[in-house]
Amino acid sequence: MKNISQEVRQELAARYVLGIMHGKARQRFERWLMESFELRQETWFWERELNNLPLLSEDSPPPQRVWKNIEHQLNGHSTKEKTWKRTSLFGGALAAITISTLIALLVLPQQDIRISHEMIAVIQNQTAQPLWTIKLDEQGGYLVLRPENIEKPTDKDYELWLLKSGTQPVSAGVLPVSQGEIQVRLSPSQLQQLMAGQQIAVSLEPPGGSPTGQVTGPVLYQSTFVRL
Amino acid sequence: MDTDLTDLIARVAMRDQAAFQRLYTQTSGRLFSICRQILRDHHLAEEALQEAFIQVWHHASEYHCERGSPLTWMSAITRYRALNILRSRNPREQITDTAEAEEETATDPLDHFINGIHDRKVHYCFEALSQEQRQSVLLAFYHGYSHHEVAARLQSPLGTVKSWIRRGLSSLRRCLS
Repeated sequence: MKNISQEVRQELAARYVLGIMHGKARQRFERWLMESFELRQETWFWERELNNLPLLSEDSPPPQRVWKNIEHQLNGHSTKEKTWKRTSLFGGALAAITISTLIALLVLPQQDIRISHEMIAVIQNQTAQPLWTIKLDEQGGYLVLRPENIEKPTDKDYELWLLKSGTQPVSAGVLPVSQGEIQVRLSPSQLQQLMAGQQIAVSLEPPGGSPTGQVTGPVLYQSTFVRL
Repeated sequence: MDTDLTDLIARVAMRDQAAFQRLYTQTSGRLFSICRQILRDHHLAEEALQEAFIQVWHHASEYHCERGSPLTWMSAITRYRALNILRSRNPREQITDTAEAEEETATDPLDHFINGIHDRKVHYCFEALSQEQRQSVLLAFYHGYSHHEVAARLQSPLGTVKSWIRRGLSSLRRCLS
């Protein structure tokens, strides 16, 4: 996204939230949202102001079938038990298996799930500031971990976990906190875990990472990979 | 109520199904009204509401206070889903002559809109707009009208309507800041 003036940013965000920006312009704007914190803030401004306006009519309870459909949809592509039940710290968190996960599991050959696209995940803090950018090179089978705006915690390390519904989290190592990106080569099982779950989490662990191979500290952040 | 909703969303982010059902019970009435305002078709409104709650389930961990109250955040998600469905339909179908639309034309509820605003600053800012600016912005907001549809509804040239909306939004931005 090119540098644009505050005025233009305000106008674009207003048009987007109001709904009068359509089609490709809307898609382009959503792409810019991923890149610009200022644009996200401006969008949130309009979302707060407009969506707080009174409704024109009274609340109208939807028919019961809507909730049934939601339940069905969230259960639909997986087994019911796995989707809703919290089977472990992460099991529930990742229960909803996405279409892309299903494609990865069912369509791609199990022996070689790598395809020629990159995927990216941005780990953000509570105010949506990016802390790390994680890029997956599927052909090379490695992750590129880039710290964006993160300080090293005292006597601790941040550890990255690959999450997949119904399985234990798999470590992808300690995240870098200083300038510069690092590459982490993934084993076939790590890559399969990542492709199947497409979700990651960051926990706070003793220096050097979890001593047990499983999460021992608090889980601070979660994110999802999107295909570029 | 908002504190409760924040708590529920935090629990939904941890994949708590019971919390999700409570969140649905507490908010679906309001969100369904938003869908009906935009889509004016009961079945499509149900579809939009369903999609909105699926989004809430998947994105609960992304909620934070800069996005407004939990209900505001969920309203935004719901509006976007409803708008998506509206835009994916044949444009000719978008302004239908359903009984609901007829009624809306006969007694324009937007005339009474300002009375419903309790926030004094927001009330003042909308009142400060010209009637045309206010009507154009509100038709787009409440019913998901495009520029063309606002122009047809207000029987005004497209360029004029675009200008009303642009200036209306710009005035609101200055006033609400």
